[in-house]
This record gives sequence, C-alpha cells and structure tokens, in this order.
Amino acid sequence: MSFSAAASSLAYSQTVMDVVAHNLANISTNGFKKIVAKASGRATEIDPAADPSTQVNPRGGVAETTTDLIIGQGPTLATGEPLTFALQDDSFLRVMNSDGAVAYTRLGALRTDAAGNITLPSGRFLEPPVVVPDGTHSPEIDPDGWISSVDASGARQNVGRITLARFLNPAALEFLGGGLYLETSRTGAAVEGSPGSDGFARVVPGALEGSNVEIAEEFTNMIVAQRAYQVASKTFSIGDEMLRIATNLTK
Amino acid sequence: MIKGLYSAFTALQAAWRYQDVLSNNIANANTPGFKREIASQESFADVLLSRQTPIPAPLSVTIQQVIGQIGTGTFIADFATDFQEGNFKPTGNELNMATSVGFFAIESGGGTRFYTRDGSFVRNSSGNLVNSEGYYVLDPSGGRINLPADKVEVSQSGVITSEDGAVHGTVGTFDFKPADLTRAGQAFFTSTTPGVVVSGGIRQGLLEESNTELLAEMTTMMAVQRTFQANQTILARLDENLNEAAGSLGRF
Repeated sequence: MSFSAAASSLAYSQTVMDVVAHNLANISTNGFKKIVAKASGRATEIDPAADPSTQVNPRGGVAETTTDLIIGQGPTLATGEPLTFALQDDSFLRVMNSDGAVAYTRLGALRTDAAGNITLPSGRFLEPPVVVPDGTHSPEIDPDGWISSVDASGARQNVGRITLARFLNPAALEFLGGGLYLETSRTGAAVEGSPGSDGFARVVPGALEGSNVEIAEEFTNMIVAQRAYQVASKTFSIGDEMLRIATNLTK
Repeated sequence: MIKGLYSAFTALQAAWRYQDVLSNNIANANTPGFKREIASQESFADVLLSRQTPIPAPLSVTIQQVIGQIGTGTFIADFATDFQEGNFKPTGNELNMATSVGFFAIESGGGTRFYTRDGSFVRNSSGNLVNSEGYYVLDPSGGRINLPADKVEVSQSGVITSEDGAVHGTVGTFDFKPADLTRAGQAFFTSTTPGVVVSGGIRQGLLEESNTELLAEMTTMMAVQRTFQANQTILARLDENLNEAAGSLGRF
C-alpha cells in the first residue's frame, strides 16, 4: 500500500544526504566536480487489462534516484607552480590509470618524478606519456599545453604536450576516486585534442581549478532532504496506524 | 444493520485508497515535473445495488446482493490529476528545460510516446537529445533531435542554435485537454490524441518542480486517518450488535 511510496521517499532522502556529505567533504579538493541526486518518475504505460502483479505500482513514489556529475567550472586558483594548470572549458586531461586503462581528470597538478616522467600527484602518467630529459631543468607548461624544459645550453625546448578529451555527455562519466573518471557507454566516445586548437580552450598555467561545490546549495539540499525524510516517516506511521486499525476492525 | 456495514466498508476502502494517493504525492515532492493526484468527490443521494446494475465506484464488485437503498453521503469517486504548474527552479544545466505551455514529447525506443513536464534532458552517446531514461525528445513533427558537441541555446519557441548560429532543430511542445491525458508514471502521461502543437513557453536552464502541496497533503492525510478510525469504530459497534442478534436473541 502506501509503504512503498514512503519507503522510496526515505531512500531518496538518504541518497541526497550521502551526496551532500560527499560534496562537502570535497569542498577544498582541487579538480573536484560535485554530484547531485535527482528524483525521477519512470515513464511506464499502465495497461489496465494486464495482470496487476506484473505492473509497476503507479503510486509507488519515487521511481528512481540518479546521481549526476555537474561539470560546472570551478574557480581558478593561482599556485605559482609552473607545471600546474587549470582547464577552462569542459574538457579533461588524459592520463593512464594504474591498471593500464585510460582515465580522465580535471586536476592539472603535474610534477616530475625521479626519472623525469611527468605525473599527477598520485603517480599516474600522462597518456601519451611525457618525459623531461636528463640534464634539463625548470620544466613548465604553457597555455597551449606544451611542456618545456631548459637544456644545458640554456635554451627552452618543448618536450611533449598534454592531451585533452571531451565528451558529448560528460555528466555520465564514472568516478573512480582519486580525481579520476572513466568513460562509459553513455558519455559518448572521447574526442581528443590539444589546448588552443580543435575547439579546446587554452589552459591557465601556474594555477589549479578549485572544487565547484557551493556550501549554501549543499546545506539547502541537506535541509530539504532532512524534512522530506521526516515527512516520509510521518506518512509511514500514519499508514501503519491505519493498518493497526484495520487489524482491530472487529474483536 | 448489514447495510451499515457496507457503508462503513466503502468509506474504509475509499480512505485506504486515498492514503495511497497522498503518500505518493508526498513521496514525489522533489520529483521534477510530478503532477499530484487529487480526489474528485461525488455525492450520491441514494445508491441502489443489484446483481444486474453496474456497481458504481468506489463500491467493491464483490457486493452482489440486492440490499436496497442506502443514503451514502459523499464518497470519493475517483482521483484526478492536478495540472497546476510547479515552480520553475534554475539548475544551471544548459539542457534542462521547462515549459509554461503544453508538454514535452518523448518517445521510447519501441515507439511509445509519453508527454511530460520534466525537462531534464541530456545528450546520449550519439548526440541525440534524450531524457534521463534515454527516451528521445521529439520536435513538433515527431522527429528526433540531434545536437552538436558544443554549447547550444534554446529559444522560447524551442529553436536550438549553436554558438556559430546554426540551427539544429526545435523542441516540440504539445497541448492537451486534461481529460485526454492518462497517467503513465509519476511525471509522464500518454494520450490517444496527438495533441495540439504550441510554442513560446520554453525556458532553458530551468526545471519544473513537483506541484505537491505538502500542507494540503498532510492535512488531508490527518482527515483520512480519522475517517478511517471513525468508520472502524462504527464497524466494531455494528459487529457487536450483530453478535448480540446472532448469539443472544431468543436465548433465555
């Protein structure tokens, strides 16, 4: 009866609270993209002639809750580190995950490891990889994504370029953790290119993109979810009370 | 007395169904495009029940006997959808849309057409404009819409243009008489008529919120619960009397 509607509402509110907690925990995480929970009713044709037990309950409450990634641009924060950069459009940096799969990230915090490889702070390589040759120093990145270093003669040479990718539907990217995203069947194929060409915006060197989480929005969602939870609980107890009355219809 | 039992029973049954409707309304207070159900009430002066006469709603079809006339007061005959517009909430998502006239039309892969006010649309992997279930959003002539990869602008009449000025289709909105729409999911409707093409009400970046009115639903739920309780009391008392009649009358 009405319990499935109330239960679905409780589940939805719980998901919203989980999403809010996840977003708020990452309010200072550079390159972080917030997620939002959305309730939706599924479109299902009700066939009055069909067997009721096979039909979706038309009064079953929230049919499904989806969590979507919001790719909105975060603030550009100056770092002063010459190898860091902030993306300015909805594209992603192409990197290699530890298991050999291609992953994507918004975090442009590049650095060199002991062997001169350009990596993310977690040690992930760029894909295709870029190496700063031995004997050169002061690597930096320019607005077109070229990574360069100064050789023994004092001349600055390009040693490689970052690859960016964009998707038709980036909200469907799968979050791996550690700032990495994976392509899924719903995102569309990755379209690759370089900053400043192929429709990709130039990057801002010496900066990082901050988290796009907004405190006021998250707190509002949390308060609304909390009240929705309370109201759904009330619906639950009223339904329960009516059932109790029904069981006591007669002595 | 037995007539009284059936009176009370019909009230209990109506209250039970009403509770279902109210719970669903409340659960969908945050579902975009949701249209709540409200009770449309009908008064019966007298109701004559017989085996031959079709049993009017909400009386159960299991009542078979001729039991004469009953004064039945007001009964909830059926539930209707309240098409009152919900608030438009900005989401910042360029593919979210709200319309103040008509409904968006979406089509499943199998060809079933649904109408909705829920404009939470995305691109699918082929670039078509689809809703969150992957059903295609239709243009005024019933065709699918394909979008370019970059940002698009949707005008009030639904015309989709990209930044270079190229037109990529039109989002269709269709108007219906409320009586022609049948509920098919929380925010979706089907119709036997194709609807009248209207335009001029589309707003990009906004979503229409649920039109659930929490205070009204909770107040009605209180009334429903008390109706249920009151009728249970009547049923229990009648049962007591029947028990007296069946068990004690004629005994010394």
